[in-house]
Amino acid sequence: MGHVPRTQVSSNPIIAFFQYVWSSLITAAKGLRVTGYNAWLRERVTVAYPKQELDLSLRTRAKHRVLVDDTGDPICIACGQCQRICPDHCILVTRKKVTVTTPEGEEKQVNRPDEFVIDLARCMYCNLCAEVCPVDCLHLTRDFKYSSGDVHTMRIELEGLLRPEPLSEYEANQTDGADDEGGEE
Amino acid sequence: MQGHAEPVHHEEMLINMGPQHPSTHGVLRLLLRLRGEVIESARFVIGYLHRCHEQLTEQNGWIRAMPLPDRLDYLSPITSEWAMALAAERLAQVEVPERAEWLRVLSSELYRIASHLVFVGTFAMDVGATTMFLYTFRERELLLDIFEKLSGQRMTCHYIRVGGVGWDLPSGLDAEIRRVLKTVESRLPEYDDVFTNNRVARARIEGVGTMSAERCRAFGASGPVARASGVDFDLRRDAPYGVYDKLDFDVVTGERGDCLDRLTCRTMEIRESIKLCRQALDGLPEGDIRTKLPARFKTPEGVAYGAVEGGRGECGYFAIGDGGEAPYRLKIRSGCFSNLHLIEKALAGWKLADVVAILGSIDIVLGDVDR
Amino acid sequence: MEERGWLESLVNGLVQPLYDAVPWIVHLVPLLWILVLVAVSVLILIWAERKVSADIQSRVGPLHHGPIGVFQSVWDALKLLTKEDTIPRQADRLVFCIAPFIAFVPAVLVYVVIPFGKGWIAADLNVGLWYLLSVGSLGVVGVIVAGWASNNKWSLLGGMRAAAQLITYEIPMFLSVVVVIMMAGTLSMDDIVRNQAGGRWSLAPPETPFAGWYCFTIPGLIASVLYLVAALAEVNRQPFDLPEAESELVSGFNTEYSGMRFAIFFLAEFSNTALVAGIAATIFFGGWSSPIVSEGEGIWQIFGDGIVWYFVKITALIYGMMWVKWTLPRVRIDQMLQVAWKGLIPLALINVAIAVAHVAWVGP
Repeated sequence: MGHVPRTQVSSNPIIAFFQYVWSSLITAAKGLRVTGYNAWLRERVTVAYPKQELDLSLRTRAKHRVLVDDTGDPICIACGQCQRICPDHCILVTRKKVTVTTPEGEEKQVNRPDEFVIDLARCMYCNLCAEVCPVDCLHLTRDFKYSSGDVHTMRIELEGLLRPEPLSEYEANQTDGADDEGGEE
Repeated sequence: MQGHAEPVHHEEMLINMGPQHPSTHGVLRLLLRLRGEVIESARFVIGYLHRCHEQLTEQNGWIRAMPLPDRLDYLSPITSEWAMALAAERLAQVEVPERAEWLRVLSSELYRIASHLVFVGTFAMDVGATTMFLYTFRERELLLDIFEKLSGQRMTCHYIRVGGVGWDLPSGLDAEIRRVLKTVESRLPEYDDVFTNNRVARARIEGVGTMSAERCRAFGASGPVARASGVDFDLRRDAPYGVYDKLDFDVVTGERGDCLDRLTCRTMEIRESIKLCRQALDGLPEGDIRTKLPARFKTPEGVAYGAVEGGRGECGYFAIGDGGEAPYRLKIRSGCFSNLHLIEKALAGWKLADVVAILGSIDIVLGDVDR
Repeated sequence: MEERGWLESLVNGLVQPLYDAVPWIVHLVPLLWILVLVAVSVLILIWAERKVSADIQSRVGPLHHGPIGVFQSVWDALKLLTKEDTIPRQADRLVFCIAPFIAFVPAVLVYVVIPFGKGWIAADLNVGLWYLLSVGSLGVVGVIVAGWASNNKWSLLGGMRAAAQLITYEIPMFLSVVVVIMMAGTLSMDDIVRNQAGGRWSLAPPETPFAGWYCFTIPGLIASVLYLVAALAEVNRQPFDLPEAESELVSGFNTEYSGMRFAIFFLAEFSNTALVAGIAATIFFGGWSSPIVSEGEGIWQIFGDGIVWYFVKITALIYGMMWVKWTLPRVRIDQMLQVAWKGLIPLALINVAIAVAHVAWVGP
């Protein structure tokens, strides 16, 4: 089965002794060649994180983000689907009725989130909430710099979820005009 | 603890290895009865990482529990996900699109490479070659980068869903996967030079911890551990799921079942997986990646067993449906759990230094053992 | 001239009266130099160990304290000094506390007979090599009692392994040093270096400055390889780092040590590393003698014999030891003993016979 060959040793103890000595030296030299090559000729892979940052993938799932419409209001309709599907029970949405003026000028009652809280300390970033959102307003973005010494600060209110940067994959595809391939349900 | 309740003779030493020990791969606890450096008998204690996964799934339901298998065998999460999705799909008779099947093969084989790389590195570190650990993790990092681009997370991917996969292959990733596979393939001979063929390493692993095929069968061992002992059993070939029946690959088996065989089985499987990944990339059909499930996905009454060849043996999910959103009962069959039971007999008579080598060669993940 | 006047007044006013009052104080000067040298070289070695391992493992190593992280080990030392001093409740307190010093003192004392350069030797004992090997082997006592006194099973196993290993590997080490003693005909370290000035049969081209080094004779070459292998075991480095095998024994004999006492064990270990490299450089590789030109003229003077060459040689040897450490796996305890009893000692005995023939045939 194409295995690594096993060690073959002579039955003569004297020859076997020198075989052991010789194979020890040779195989150690082979190993030293590889490690020496790595030490002198191959480039380092460490990224000195705070000074140098990696380019994260567009699909990286970190802090949530709620999209807003032109007037700056969240387009969330407070349907509560994300709250229901969340395996960690970390989303809390309550509903309120607000009156908005449509572009046609008529006034309309719509559902808007009254309270929208995500407890990031409990979240496991599974993306289920973003996938069930019927109006595509909840997304997971690449913003991962929210670690904190106080677990209560990880409870993010709606204002904290409206930050514009960085974009999620969904929005990046929207702005690029590229075909909408990810993040859809 | 029978056998360890007996008084310790004064030449003997009862020593507690773990749960906080650098090389028990997590929170395994071993009770070793030593005479000098020689193991008289060994018992293991598990359960320090029990997280009620079965119960969580029974309460949360299929869809909400799909991210959880990632947390079981966290070094090879895709295969656990696939097993769970397979159980749900077989129970509810969900059709999976062709492209999704191919993507599942691709992603699980990629993660199998990553998982075996971790094995090679940690095993080498148990035997003392710290540098190998860094080398294999360096290559694994390339694979995790692929998963970050594919699914958004490096380890807890949540990639395979009931009825398909979560995301399609983004543009440009095809070429990158091929490049990474080439890199990994070119580094495998280096591992042989640094570790596998080294005289000192051979002295530590060749002929150590042999397990017969009969014992492996008797203990229900599977995966590379059983194959290294000569048990010619691989679910990918013997109970094909996904599109493995359309792919060309060899099942690697060993002869003697010692640590060297268990190591080479995995390094050969890395090569086989590279082959499979290339075939999956070549044969990837166009089409849908996910079947649209109803908003409240329910499984009918009945039983189903979804099993895949995981990185560490047969990973199976046995589900009993009762018509609700969640299975009435879910039983997780973990490869590590069965394989771990081999060590009590395998350890007796070997030296203390061999404990870490034998334990390392079985390659357990305590998250999968305790579930 | 002004500076000389200032120095003269200092010598006349302070040093001379002190010397008149306690004449033995002059012996403290080389000891002070040795202590400073050991402390500084250990700090550099710890940093170098981390940098070399990082190089080999495709990492970058310490970066932030000083240029390319050279002050990292200074900060590490400060951290260890400020740590809480813990003694396990069931430990043998007295033995636990003095064990690090039993390990450390011999590691420093042996430097007395190492010739760093021409005349740079604290005490040119006529039994220098003998003193060196006998005092150097006392360090193992500290390791054993540390393992015993910690009252921890892992520490005990580490201590027992250390005892078996260090005592076993002294035999091939002695036997390879004996070869040099036979060829040099002296035990004085300084004379051994001077005897390597050349003018005898050598594997190296004749008339080169390094032709006389003992590593270029057949028994000397074999002895140097055997010595370096045994030295790896003597200083607990891979592939023989069993006493503190991290993946097996947690941390071996120093599992229960923290803070200052752990730092002293560390100091002793790295001081021993520099020491075995120094001995190898001195007795096999010509000590402070230069491989380029022994008595240079003009610009060539800087390449002549001197203290620099000693440090160049031990740097090269230590780099080699680190390279080996970060490449090879660890042997098992029985294999470790096999390597010594079935491998190194027979080879060393054969080599002694070769050396007898060599000395009889070629002359010392």
